[in-house]
Amino acid sequence: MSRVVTVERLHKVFRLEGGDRLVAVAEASFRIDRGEVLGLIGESGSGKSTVGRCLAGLLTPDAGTITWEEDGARVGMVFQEPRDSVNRRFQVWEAIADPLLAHGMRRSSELAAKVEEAAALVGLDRTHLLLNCEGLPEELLQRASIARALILEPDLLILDEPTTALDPDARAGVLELIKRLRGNSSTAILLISHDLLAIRSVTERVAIMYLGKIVERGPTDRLFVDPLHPYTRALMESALELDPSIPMAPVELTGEIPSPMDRPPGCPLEPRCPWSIADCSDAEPPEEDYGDQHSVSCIRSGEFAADTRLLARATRPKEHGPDRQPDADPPDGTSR
Amino acid sequence: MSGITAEGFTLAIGDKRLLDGVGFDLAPGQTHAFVGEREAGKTVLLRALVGMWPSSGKVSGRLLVDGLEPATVDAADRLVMRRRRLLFVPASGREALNPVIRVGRHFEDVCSVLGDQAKRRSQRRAAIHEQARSALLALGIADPDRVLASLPDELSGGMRKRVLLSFALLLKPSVLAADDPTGGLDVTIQRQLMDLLASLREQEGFTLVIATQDLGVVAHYADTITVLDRGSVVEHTTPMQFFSGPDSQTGAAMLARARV
Repeated sequence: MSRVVTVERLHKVFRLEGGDRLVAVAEASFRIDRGEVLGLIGESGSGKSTVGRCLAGLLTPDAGTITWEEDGARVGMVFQEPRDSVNRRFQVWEAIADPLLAHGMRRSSELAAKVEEAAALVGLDRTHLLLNCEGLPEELLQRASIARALILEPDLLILDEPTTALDPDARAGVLELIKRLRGNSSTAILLISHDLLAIRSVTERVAIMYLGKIVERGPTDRLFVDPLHPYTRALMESALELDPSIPMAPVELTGEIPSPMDRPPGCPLEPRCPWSIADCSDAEPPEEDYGDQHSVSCIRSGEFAADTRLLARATRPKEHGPDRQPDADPPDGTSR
Repeated sequence: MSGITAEGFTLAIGDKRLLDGVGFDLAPGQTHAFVGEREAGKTVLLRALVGMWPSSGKVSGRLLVDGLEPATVDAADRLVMRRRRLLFVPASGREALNPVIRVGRHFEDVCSVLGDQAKRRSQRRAAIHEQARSALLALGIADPDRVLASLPDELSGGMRKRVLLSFALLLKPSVLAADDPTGGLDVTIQRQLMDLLASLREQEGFTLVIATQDLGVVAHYADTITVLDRGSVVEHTTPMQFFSGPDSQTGAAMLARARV
C-alpha cells in the first residue's frame, strides 16, 4: 500500500503565560497508508488532538518532520462538535460546497455535481441538501461536515472525536459511515478518539498516546488482544464488554493522569504503573520494534513479549488499593 | 431497610408528561440502573426519587422511597427525608459545587443538614474537616488538604466526582442517586469511579440508583435494569436477561447501537 504521510519525532510545546511549558506531543512517530484507517487513542491531555492539528497545518510543530508522499497533499478535517464547525445559516448544500467556493469555484453544474457526489458518499440525498443546518439532527449535521471535508478529495481525512458529541444512535450511524468510507475511497483516515469500541470496530492499525507520547502502535487486533505496553493493557481492560458474563479485569492504574505541564521524568506512565522499576524514571524509554509495524515504548516490553502471560490477567501483580505506597516493592521478576 | 417502589407514578408539567405511569420495585442495598435515550425520563425519575422536581410539576400515583413519599412530604418531613439522607449526585460535578466556595466549606454545608453537635462553630468546623479528610483519603485522594483548600474548578472532573461521592461517607445515605456517574470522564478514571461506587455501596449498605446511557457500566455494575422510553417503563429486567436479548424494542435498539 502506498504511503500518504510519514511523521517523524513530532514535538509540540505550548508556551503559557508566566513562562510555563506544556509538552503536548513528545517525539511522536507514525505513518499512514492510503486507504487505511489509523486510530489514535488517548485520554484527555494525551496530545492526540494536537497531533491532528499539526497534520492539518493548524499548528506548527516545534521539532520533527511531517513528510507527505505527494506535493500539495490535501487534508480534510472534521471536528467533534458539528454545530461549531458548520455555519448554521447555511443550507446543507452550501455547507458542503463551502470549501470549493472558498477555493474560488463558481456556482455551476460542476459544483452541484461535486456536492451531490460528496453528499452521496456520506449517505445524504438531494432532499437533505435543501434543509437548513439550523435545527438539523446532529447526526445529519456531522455527516454534512464529513462531506464538506471530503469534497476537496483529501489525501488524508482527519476525524477528531467525531462521535463524542453524538448520542448513541447518531454514533452508530457515523461509525457505519466510516466503515463504508474505508472500503471505497483512496483517502486515508486518521480517527482520533477515546471511544475504544469505536476504534476497534473501524480501524486496521492504532497508536496509543499517553501524556504526549505514543507508547504503543501496531495492528488493531494485536493491540486489543496482546498489547505489550502496560498502559495499553490498562486502557483496553477499562473498556467494559457489553456482556455481564465476561468478568471485568481489575483496575490497574492508580491515581490520576498528571498534568501535561508537569510530566514525570522518564517514562510518563511511571508514577501510575504497577510494573515500574527504578530504571523507568531515568529516561524516556526508546521505541522497540516487534515486527509487523508493531512498536512499544517500554523498557520492560521485551519481558512482556517473551512471556505474554506476564502482562495478562493470571500473573499480574496483586491489585493495589488506593493506599499503595509509591515505593512499594516492584512485582516479581523485575531484577534486571 | 426498605427499597424503592413506584406505582403508576406520573409527573406532568403543563400537559407534558415527563413520567407516565411508572411502576417498579427496587430492592434495598442493590444497584439499579435507569437506561434510555435522551429525553427518556432517566434524570427526571432519578431526581424524583429524592423529591426534586419543578414546583409547577403535577404528581399522581405513588413513589415510595425508603418508607417516605417524596411527593407528599411536608416541610418537617422534608427535613426528615434529608436526614434520612437521600443523596443525589448530579451528572456534572461543576453543577453541584458552587465555583466560588472552597471544597472544605462545601463539606460544612453538607454536614449542616445533620444538625448535630451544638459545639462552637470553630470546633464543629475542625471536626467536619477531620471527617472530610478521612472520607477523601478513603476515596483514594492522596492529598485531601489540598483538595479541601481548592475551588471546585481547580480540580479535575474525576476529582470533583470523588468529592461528591465522599459526601456519602459523611451523610450515610440510605439511597444514593447518581446521574450519569461516568459521563465526561476518561475511561481509566470511569472504572476507578464505578469501582469506588460499588465498594461504597457494599460498605455503607445504601441503595444505589444510576441513570446512564453506558450499557457497559450497566452490564457489570447493575443488579436490575429499568428501560425508559418517553417517560414510561418499557422493560424491567436483569443484566443477564437484558444482554442475552432485551424484551423491549427500545432496549433491543439501544443494545444494537452500542454494539455498532
